[in-house]
Amino acid sequence: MSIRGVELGLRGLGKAIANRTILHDINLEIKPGEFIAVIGKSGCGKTTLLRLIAGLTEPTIGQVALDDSPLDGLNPAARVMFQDARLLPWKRVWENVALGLPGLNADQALQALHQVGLADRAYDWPLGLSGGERQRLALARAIANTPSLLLLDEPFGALDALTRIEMQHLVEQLWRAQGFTAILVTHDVEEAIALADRVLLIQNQHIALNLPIHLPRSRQRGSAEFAAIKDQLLGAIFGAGYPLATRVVGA
Amino acid sequence: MALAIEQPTTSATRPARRLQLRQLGQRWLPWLVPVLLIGVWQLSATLGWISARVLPAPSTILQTTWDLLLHHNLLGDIAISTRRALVGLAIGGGLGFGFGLLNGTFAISEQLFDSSFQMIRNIPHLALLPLVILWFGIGETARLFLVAFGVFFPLYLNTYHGVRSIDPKLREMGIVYGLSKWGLFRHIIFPGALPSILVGLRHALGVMWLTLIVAESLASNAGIGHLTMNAREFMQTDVLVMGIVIYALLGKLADTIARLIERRSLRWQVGA
Repeated sequence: MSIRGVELGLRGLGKAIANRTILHDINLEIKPGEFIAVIGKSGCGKTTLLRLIAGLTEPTIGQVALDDSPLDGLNPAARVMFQDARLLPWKRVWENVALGLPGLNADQALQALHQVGLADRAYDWPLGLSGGERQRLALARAIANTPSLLLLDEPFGALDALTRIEMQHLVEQLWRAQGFTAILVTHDVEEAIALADRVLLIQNQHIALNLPIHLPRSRQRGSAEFAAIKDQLLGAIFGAGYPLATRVVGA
Repeated sequence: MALAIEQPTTSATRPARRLQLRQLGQRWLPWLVPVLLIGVWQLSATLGWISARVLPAPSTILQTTWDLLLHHNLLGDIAISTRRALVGLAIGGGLGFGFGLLNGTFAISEQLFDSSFQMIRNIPHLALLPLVILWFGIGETARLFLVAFGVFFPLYLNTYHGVRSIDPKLREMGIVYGLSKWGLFRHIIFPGALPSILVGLRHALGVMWLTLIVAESLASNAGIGHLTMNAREFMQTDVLVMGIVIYALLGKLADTIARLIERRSLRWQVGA
C-alpha cells in the first residue's frame, strides 16, 4: 500500500519572536515521499521550522506550500511525533492510537499497533510502558491515519542507544511501506545520515548546507562512505576547528 | 469488601498462613478501636457510671432507633434530609463545576469572575445564616441556599485548578491530531481535570452535611435536624445521640460512594 506523500515548498520563510530572528529566508522544495533530516546545534531554530510546517506557528514572512497551495493554519496532512510521547495516561494504549482516527476506529488502531510491534499491549495503560514502548505507541498514533506527511521532532532523543537504533529502523521501514513525506529534526548526525535522502544543516538562521545522501539502504554505519559524510557534516557544523583539538586540562 | 479468604486444600505453608493472618489483621484492625469504645460505653452505662441523662447506653439508643423506625417514620426524616443535601449539592456543585470549567478554559471569563469568587470564598458561609433567614425566611429555600453556597467553592476551586493544570503539550497534541473543541474537552480536558474534580467532590460532601446539620437545627419542620431539636426540648438524649450517629453514617456513606467513583474512574493511575 504505497500512499503518495505530500509535496512541500518553503518560500522565503522567516520567523521572528519578540524582534529576535529565529529563521530567515528559508527556501526549499521537498519532493513527495522524500525523507529530510534537519540538523543543527540546539537553539538554531530547527524545531521552529518543524512547527512552521505543522502550522502550529505562523510565519512572520513567506509561506509554506502544500502541493502548491499555501498553508493556512494547521497543516491537515501532517502528523507530528514529539520528543516526549505526549500520551494520554487516562486512555488505554489502543485508545491513544485511535485518538486521531475518525470515529475512534479500534480495528485501525490495532492494525497500527501491530505495525510497531505493540499489539500485545493494546489494552494496557500507558503508565505501565517503558520509554521505548511509549515512543513506539506515539509512532503508532502518528501513522495510524496513513498521513501524507510525518514530522518527527527529535523523537528518539530521550531513548537509550540500542532502543534508538531499533526505532530508527522501524521508522525507515514504515516510511518505505507507506511512502509518506518525512521530516526529521535531530541533533544526532548519524541518525540523520542513516535515514535521510537529504540532510539540511541550519546555522545562522538559514539553511547552511543541503546535502543529498546517496548511500544505498539499509545503510551500514561502519562503512567508509558513511564516516566520510559524517566528517563532512561535523566539519560544516564546527567549521575550521574540526576535528576538535584535545587538550589535557590542567597540563 | 467481599474478599473471601480461601482456605487452601493442602496444609498451608507457614508463610502463606502468615499472609492470611496479615490480611485478616488489615481487614479487622480498623474496627478494633470503635468496638472497644462502644463496649466501654455500654459497660459504663449499665454499671451506672454515667447517667442516662448525659449519655444513654448504646443498647438504649438502638432500641430508640427501632421504635422511631417502626412508629415515627424515621426513614421519612432521613429521606428528607438526604434529599435536601443532594438538591443543594446538585445546584451549588453544578454551578461550581460549570464555572470551574469556564474560568479554566476562557481567560475572559476568568478575569470577569475569579477574583470575585476568591473574595466571597473567604466568608465562612455559616456566618450568612442570619442574613439568609432574613432573605428567605426559615423555609426550604434558606436551607438549600446555604448548602448550595457551601458546596460551590470546593467544586469551583478544584475544577478550575484541575483544568488549569493540564499539560498544554497534551492540548497541543490533541489539536495536531485533529480533535474538535468538543473532542479536546471529552478526551483531554475533562479526564485530565477529573482527579482534581473528585477531590473537590469529596470535600464538598463534607461541607454539605455540615451545612445541612446547622441549617436543619436552626429551623426545620422535618428531617434529622428537626428530630434532634425536638429531642432537646424534651430532654431525649437518646434521640439526640441517634441523630448525631445518623449524620455520621450518612457522611461516611457519601464519602464511601465518592471513593468508589474515584477508584473506578482513576484506574489508570495505578496502571492495573
